[in-house]
Amino acid sequence: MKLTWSPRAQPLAVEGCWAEGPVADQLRAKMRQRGLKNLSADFEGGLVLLGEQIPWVESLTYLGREGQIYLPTLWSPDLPHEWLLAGLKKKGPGPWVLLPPGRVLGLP
Amino acid sequence: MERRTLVEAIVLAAVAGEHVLVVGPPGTAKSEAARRVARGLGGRYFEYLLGKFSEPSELFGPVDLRKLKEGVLETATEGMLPEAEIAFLDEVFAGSTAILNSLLTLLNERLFRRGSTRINCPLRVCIGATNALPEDESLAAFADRFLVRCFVEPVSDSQLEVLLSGGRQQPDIQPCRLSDLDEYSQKARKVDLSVVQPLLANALRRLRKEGLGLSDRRSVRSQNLIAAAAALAGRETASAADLWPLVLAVPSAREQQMARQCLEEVLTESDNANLFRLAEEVSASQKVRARRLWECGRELLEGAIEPLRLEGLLRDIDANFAPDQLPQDLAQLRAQLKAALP
Repeated sequence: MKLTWSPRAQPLAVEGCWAEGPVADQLRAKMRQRGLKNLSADFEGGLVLLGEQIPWVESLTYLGREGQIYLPTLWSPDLPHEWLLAGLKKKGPGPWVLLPPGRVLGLP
Repeated sequence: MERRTLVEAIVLAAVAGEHVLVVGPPGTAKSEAARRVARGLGGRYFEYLLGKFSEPSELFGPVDLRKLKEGVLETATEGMLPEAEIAFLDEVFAGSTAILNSLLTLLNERLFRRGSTRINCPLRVCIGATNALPEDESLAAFADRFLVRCFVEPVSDSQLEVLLSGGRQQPDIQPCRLSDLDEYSQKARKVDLSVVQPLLANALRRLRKEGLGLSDRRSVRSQNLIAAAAALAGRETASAADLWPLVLAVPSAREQQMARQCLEEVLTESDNANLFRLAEEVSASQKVRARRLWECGRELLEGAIEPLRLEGLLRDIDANFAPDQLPQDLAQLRAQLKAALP
């Protein structure tokens, strides 16, 4: 079943970001340049960075958190949180990043 | 609640003819915010730190000895609370019963009575401050006179730079002059509430359902805040956009948080061009958030360029608005911020 998403009336507070492709390279470069040591995890094609103070780079996807699930600040999956959590637990231990349309990234 | 938001709450209360109770731990600049508002408004200001040994004369004025020799008991109120236009009372619940009883009448009826002294007080707003809400039932009636409740915390991590630079510069806040405030008060009294009253009744029912019922007095008087918000937004008829001050009339911090969640749907309509910080704090509406971000951006671009603050604001804009949802003026400002980055 395909997961659908809706815009949030109230965006989540920023607790991380997802950077993809060249955006991830720009973000890494800024982190190095500033000596920042945020928690981060590399994935195929991109990078997840956690924390509130994230260097600004064009086209980042900012993440907020609902329990153990990091989600885009602006989008909400059209599924009750408990159902989502149950599905993600089958994929491995959390926390997880869930990105539209249905990419799941397990954080170390 | 941040300091500039507190200033907006004081202005809202003053226009509504209501009083503000600021609750927060020591050292959170409650008195400084009140002083800055008073300096900005330019009215007659009275400030006092109450204690259990405070005498009524320290607030209301001493007995007029000249008149007493003539056998008349009068109070010399010059420069004291009965003649103040803006008042700040720190540790407001620490006063004796005699003081609190006189204060009750003064706050409620704008009247000071003592012996043959009878004064119509010009008080626009009284800001009471306390470290915690009183648990003593006997203080409940007095506490209820402060319709607007503001809860301040030490500034957040992300605001530390602003706190440190603001703390040194100590800029005066000039929300508006006292005459402007009186003009807004007159407009507020004429605001048509017929559209918003059914919405308010629904909101009050929802609060009651969640066990957050306001007293009848607070429910009725919340209309003064709604009318003041509408007047300050330039509206002659209050609408759903003006319902947000209801949350400020909810008595405790925990209950205000619950009220925000319970009324989330109706609060998304909130909007106010003059009180956008306060409206955002209360409602988290995207309309007022856009106004606040735009204002912050304008201030940043007017000052010396600080790349980290520019980036912080760009991050806030991108985290709160999808590109196709950005209001036009905020989109233009975003482009200017981006261009200003080194």
